[in-house]
Parts: sequence; C-alpha cells; structure tokens
Amino acid sequence: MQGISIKLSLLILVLVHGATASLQAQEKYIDKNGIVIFEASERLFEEVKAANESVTAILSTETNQIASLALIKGFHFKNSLMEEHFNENYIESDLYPKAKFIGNLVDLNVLQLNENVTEVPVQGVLEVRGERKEIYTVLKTQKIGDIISITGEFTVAPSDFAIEIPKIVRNKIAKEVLVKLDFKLAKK
Amino acid sequence: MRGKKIYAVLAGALVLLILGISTYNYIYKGHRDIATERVAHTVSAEEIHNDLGKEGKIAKYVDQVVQLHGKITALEQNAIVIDNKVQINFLTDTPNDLSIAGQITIKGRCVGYDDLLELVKIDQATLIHNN
Repeated sequence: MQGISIKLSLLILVLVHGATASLQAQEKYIDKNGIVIFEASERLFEEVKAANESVTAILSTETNQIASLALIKGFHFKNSLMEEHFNENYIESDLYPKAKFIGNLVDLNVLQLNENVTEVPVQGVLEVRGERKEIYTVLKTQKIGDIISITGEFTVAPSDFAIEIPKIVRNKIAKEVLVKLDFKLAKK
Repeated sequence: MRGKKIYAVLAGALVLLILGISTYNYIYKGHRDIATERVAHTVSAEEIHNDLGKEGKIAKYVDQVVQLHGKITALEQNAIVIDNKVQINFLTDTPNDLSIAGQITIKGRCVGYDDLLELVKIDQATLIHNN
C-alpha cells in the first residue's frame, strides 16, 4: 500500500516537473507596437502609402510560429480623404476590421541569434478581407539584449484580397503593393 | 455692351475659383482632431473590453472618441496598458510622469479589438487626469 502511494507521489512529481519544464520552454516574445507600412504609389502621382505603428506580433520560440495582427483602422495616410476611401471602399474596415498573418520562421534557432543580422525565411498566410494569401519572404532577424528585431518586406496585389480598384484611379495605384514590417519583440 | 461682357467673364472666373477652392478643400481636408472632438462614450477599461471582446459591439466604439479610466498595469516606451485590458498610444510622446498602478483618465480614438493579445487598442490619446 505504502509502495503504491510512494510510486504515485513520484509520478505526480515527475508530471508536475514535466509540466513546469514545458512551460519554461514556451517562451514568447511580444511586440504591441510593431510597424507595418504599405505603399502602392505610382510615379508622378500622389503617394499611396500608409503606416500602422501599433501592430501586434507574437513569436513563440518553442514552435517558431509567428502571429501578427494589424487593425485596419490603425493605418494612417498623409491624405485623410485617401484614408477614408481606403477604409470605406477598398478594405471595408467595418466588415473586415483586421489583417492577420500566421506563419513559421523556418529553421530559426533563437539561441543562435545575436547582434549580427541573420536571414530567416518565413512562410505563412496573410488574411485580409476574409481572403487568404500565401506569403513567403526572407526576414532579417537580430537579437540585441532581450529584444528580437525582425524586419522585412513582401509584395501583394489588391486582387489577392478581391479588392477592386475603380477605373478612374487605376493608373494612380500600383498593381503591386509593397508591405514593410518592423517588429521589436520583447520577452514575456 | 462691353461692360456686360466683363461682368460675365468676372462672374465666370469667380465661379471657377470657388469650385477650385472647394475641390481642393475636399481632397486635402485635414485629419480629425481627436483631442478637441466631443467624447462619444465615457467608460471604464473593463467595460469597453467586455463590450468589444465578448459582446462584439464594434459599431458602438470603433473610430469613436472615448474617454477611459483605469489603473496603469504596463508602461512602455510607446504605449501604456490600463487594467490589462486596454492599450493606449498617445498622440505625442507618452507623458513621463506616469507610474505603474497609478489611476489615469484619457481621451482617444478606439481603433478596435486585438484578439491576439485580448486588448482594446486606443490611439491619438491625450491625458485628461492622472494621480
């Protein structure tokens, strides 16, 4: 009887230990104020560019998964009418209030990150207006102190997200939209 | 006869000028000034978090000017968090006399609900009260 209870308490000890160990491994790095800038300017026309400086990014160093969320209403244009049209006519931000990216940093080894810039491929899906688009790009990563910095860019097209550009402005908006990101993730 | 012609030309020029100015003002109108706009809702951090996160009352708050109060639970370079429920980004730099656990009242624009961090996000905020 006593033998059983010792075994049981040992088992519990092992389980609890295992659970805390896996909790420790589940490290997360978070940025609440990540920067995402997109630009679809055409030469000779007014710039079509917006920045969102409170984008969320979460990196799990255990699974190398990265998730990012940008509220559409957080994108600011220089021209307020452009911002209004972007929200009302193009993205329809009342219906689709956020853009979301979920992906994997391929072969990232956080322990090996240092102040030197390491290029890490990322593969994932960007969801805007309920439409999903596969994204593959190479990001620049670096670790300074406890902060992991991730920067990079990729291009998408308005048609990827079923955004129709009216004929009257079609030559003022580029077919390819360049998206730039800049995250500074702190350990949580 | 000649006098009439001049008047017609002047009137035409005036109409064009007014049209031009109003078109310009329409295309290049200024951004909203959240700091001077009237507050649409005065709520606690808890209340807006519940309304947006659980009830999904997006139309009630998003893009509206809200006044919020709560306790500072995180203080970062570009943002603060109150009651672990609302992230505030100030219009200018974050005021430097804020401290963790301090009570605060701010006015700002509700950007929406971030379901990754489970936080309501407010931008273009100005400090109303701090102690």
